[in-house]
Amino acid sequence: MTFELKELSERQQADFKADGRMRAYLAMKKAFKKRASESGVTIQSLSEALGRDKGQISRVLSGRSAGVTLDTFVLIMSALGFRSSFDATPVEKMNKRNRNVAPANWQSATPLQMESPQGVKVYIAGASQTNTAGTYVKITDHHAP
Amino acid sequence: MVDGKTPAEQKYFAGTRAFFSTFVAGADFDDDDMLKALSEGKDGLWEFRITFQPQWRVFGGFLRNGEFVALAQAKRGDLQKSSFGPIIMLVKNRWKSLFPDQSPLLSPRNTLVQDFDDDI
Repeated sequence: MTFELKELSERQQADFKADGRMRAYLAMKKAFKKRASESGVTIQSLSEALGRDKGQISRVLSGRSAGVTLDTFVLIMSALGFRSSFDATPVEKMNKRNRNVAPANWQSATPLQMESPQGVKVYIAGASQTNTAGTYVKITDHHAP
Repeated sequence: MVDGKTPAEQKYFAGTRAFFSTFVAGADFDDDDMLKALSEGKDGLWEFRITFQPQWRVFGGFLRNGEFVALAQAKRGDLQKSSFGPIIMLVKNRWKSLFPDQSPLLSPRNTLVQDFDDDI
């Protein structure tokens, strides 16, 4: 396959960055949950190990932090006894479910109708066969086998 | 989902898309941080928790395992002022109008968040 470098739209850039933040958050959460359940690690003990404010660590691990630097991410993972892989894998070689930052049928997704005009709208790919007068959309994706 | 007009909005909406994408992709939602039962689970209603600012909640129930029906949303700050009662009632009513013969699943969370059965 020939790779072709393409210009990324603002939206694509925002999606890629958000996907990275989400993956980093989930990795930290997974590491913390394992150490908490198996070894009794707490937010307090982790913050003490890092010499950081407990509130900051709590915000990071609950997803309430506005952003986490790569240094902070590596520090937290290291303190928890984890190493994160930064291996580079071409997206065409990845399992489909790991490569995209939005449902595969994003373009054909239908917005869930919500009452608040300024609120979050949830777009979900895949049409339901359930007759619900257009107010029900199915949260799904078309995973590769 | 809209792209957002300002950089902050773009970041927020992209984050929300990433949040739901990870659920669809099968990420671990088996704790209260991102998916929490309402009313201690007795009604089968759940809230997805957008925890970055501004915090938002998306409410609904599971029609089948891995298949969540989102029926309402609200800003967390507004919910703190008004309590969850009205929105729980709204979600119940919407569910009933959509699926009069079927209640939301009452299974444990680790069962509900399994991969959906895609043969419907």
